[in-house]
Amino acid sequence: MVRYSSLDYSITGQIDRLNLVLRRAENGVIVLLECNSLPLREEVINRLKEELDENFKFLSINIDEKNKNLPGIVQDYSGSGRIDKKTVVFVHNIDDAMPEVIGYLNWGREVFLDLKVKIIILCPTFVADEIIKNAPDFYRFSHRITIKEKTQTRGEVIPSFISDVKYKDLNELNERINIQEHLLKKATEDYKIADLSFNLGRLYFKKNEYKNSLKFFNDCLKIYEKIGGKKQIAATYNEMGIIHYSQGNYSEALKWYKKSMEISEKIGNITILTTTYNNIGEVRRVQGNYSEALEWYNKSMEIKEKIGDTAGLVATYNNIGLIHNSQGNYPEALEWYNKGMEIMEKIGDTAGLAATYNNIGSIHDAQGNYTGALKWYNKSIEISDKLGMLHYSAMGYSNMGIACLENKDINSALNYFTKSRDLFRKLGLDKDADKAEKTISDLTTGNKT
Amino acid sequence: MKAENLLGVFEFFEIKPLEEEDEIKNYYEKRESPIKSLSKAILLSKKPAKFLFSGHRGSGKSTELNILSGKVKDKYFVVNFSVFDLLSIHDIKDIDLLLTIGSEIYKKAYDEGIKLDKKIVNDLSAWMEDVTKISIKEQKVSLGGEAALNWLLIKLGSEMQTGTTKKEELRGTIKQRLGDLMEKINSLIYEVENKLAKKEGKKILVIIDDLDKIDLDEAEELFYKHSNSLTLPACSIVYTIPISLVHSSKYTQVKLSFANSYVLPNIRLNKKDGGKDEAGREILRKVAGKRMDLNLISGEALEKAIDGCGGDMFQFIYIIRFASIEADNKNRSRIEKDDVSAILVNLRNDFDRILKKDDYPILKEIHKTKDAVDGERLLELFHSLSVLEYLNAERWCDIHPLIIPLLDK
Repeated sequence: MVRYSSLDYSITGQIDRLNLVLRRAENGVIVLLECNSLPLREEVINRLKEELDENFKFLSINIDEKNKNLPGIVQDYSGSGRIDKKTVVFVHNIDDAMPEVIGYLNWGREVFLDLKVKIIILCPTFVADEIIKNAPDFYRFSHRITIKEKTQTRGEVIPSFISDVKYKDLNELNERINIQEHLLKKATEDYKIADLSFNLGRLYFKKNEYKNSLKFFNDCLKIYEKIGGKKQIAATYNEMGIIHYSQGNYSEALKWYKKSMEISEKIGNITILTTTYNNIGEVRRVQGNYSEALEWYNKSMEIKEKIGDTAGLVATYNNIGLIHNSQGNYPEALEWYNKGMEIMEKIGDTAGLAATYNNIGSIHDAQGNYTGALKWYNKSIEISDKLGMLHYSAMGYSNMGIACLENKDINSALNYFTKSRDLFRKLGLDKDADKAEKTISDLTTGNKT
Repeated sequence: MKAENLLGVFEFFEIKPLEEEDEIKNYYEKRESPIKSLSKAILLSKKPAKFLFSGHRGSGKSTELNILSGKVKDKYFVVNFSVFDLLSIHDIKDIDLLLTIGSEIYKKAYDEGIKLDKKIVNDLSAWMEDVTKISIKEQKVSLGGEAALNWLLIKLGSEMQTGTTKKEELRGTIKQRLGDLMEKINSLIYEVENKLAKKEGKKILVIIDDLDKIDLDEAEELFYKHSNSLTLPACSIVYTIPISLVHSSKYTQVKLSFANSYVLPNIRLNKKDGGKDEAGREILRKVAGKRMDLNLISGEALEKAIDGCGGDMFQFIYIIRFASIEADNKNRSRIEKDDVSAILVNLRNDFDRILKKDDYPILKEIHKTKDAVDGERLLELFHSLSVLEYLNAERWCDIHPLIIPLLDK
């Protein structure tokens, strides 16, 4: 199985490897090309077509809801002579055939081997995950190549809290933590301890101190479970989901969001319900399941618009923008970001603006307007620094590094990646720090692809 | 002390709730009231609870709430306010109430010299300055941190009462920062209670009076749509609500968000079968006797006043107060039946003015059946006191006695 770092700044390396795999696979090969971005998928296909010998032929198969039997379809194509040993088959829209296609793949895996076909199945992350879990026999025979698109590592999500913490700067945040801790020390009643612990959980999350945050949420959860308080339990479940989401533990996040959703549905709490809809959508989005993500966002948006929850809408608008961004619909993505920005400016949601500025930067970047991208990233970092949202700043520096790299400005890129690495390290986000470290090392040793 | 002459009647029958302990002791007449149950519920609550309290306009709710304050004052730091004094009655939103609850708690703690932790005062000041755009620094008089915040909250209060544009802007800003607002308010509540713990271990109870005067639409918006916000403060609260909300179809849903709801029944003057209810009438006689020498009113006049008020305490006091002027005008030394009648004619004319042609068939039906079925118009009839509800033992309704002669019009 072939896997690559998600901080790879160029897709060239992956395409080279794919190229090699296809040339050498005399007896056919199954490649699972995991990539969430539609424009990036297109780029990979175009470059493969350019780089492979003239001897190769290319065929695209679009699976649809009517016929989900991919092995059967390939067999038919082969039978009619449209696929031979020189054909590279690209399979599109596998997500439309979920979940039935998984069963077909697992049971019909022999078809691909018997026909010695070179097949590249383009799939989003959630389909790849499903194949690993539920079509293990098929997966054993395939190569998995993961290409994480730029926007995925760069897009800043606005997670939906039940009622978000808004603050001007790090001093304010620290002072608020001080106050809540001071009150907690003196509190003797359970309901006060629970409420103050909940507040501390939210405040520490803003400082990216996830361990502390989780500890306080666990503390208040225990009390709420003892003294009763379904609404508070549902709210706490959601916040816990956000912590896991922020650490990249998506399945764990989903578990908490769903727990929160179940309770809020039962007790009819619309605010928490719309929040969890949005957050479940968010998990689906990062897993590349855009159609399901949109369904959740729309569910959330519909209710929020109906009840006039403008602050809540901001997060959903932003996240829908991210989907369009990933699909290469840049004007539409911008439209959604602007919708969100309008509200944020009105209500003084500076933290939201920092995220949106970053996302607009990534659109400029994707369109090759590196100067424009750097300008927006800078705007985002300025606010993030001021608010003490160092995680956002670290992401921003990483994005600036990528933009400089694409603009062939290696020295500036190195400078930004270093800043990003140091900040990630300071925040205890070692996975991200390691990725930045690897990029720096590749750049300094000239091991760049 | 009570009125010894007609001039005194006007003074002693002042139309205002009984507030001071002495006033209550001297003039309050025991009647059927849920205040005993409500005070018990408050005293027994282990965590902050929110209650609803309603009754017909003029039924004596404010006096009952003042009695409630007295009953719980040893265990509670009672913050009692009327929305009339602090907000614009025709335009009250959940955010306004939350802000006012926080402000009034702070102001009362400040007035009573409770010294709060500096960092809490500073944090609250900075946040309030930021969201309200009221700058403490602009104050020419140099104020200490606590006094400056008190000044800001008073200024905010006057803006909440008058400035429409600014109020809208403020609501918009705070709505998006509701979580932060609640963190501030609840931190303030905890800090005040921490300081109180050192002395008497009291908890905070907020009593919000006169919310029953708001329109039904506004009440539904507040207590149905935004009930969630109203339960967020970490202290016990008693919200008054209009009686029409109690009759609204949304009330069952509204009640779910609150610990319990209580209704102060009108004083029953007649039985459902039309016979006189002597126990109820005796309460009003005693109320009159506590405020005036009963030689100042003829027996017939007193009974007429009792009949005409329909069991509404406010109207009873009002009728006798202004009948004393009528009597004085005629150089009488006591109130006679025709003095009372003159006032009742005025009150009846008021009903005549507000009632619509379509209301009369509904009113006739209620008068006949002693029952009021659902209907939007009915809610307005309750709100205008045209229909009165008697909850003693068995629930039944009747139209206001002053309306009966209008039915044949």
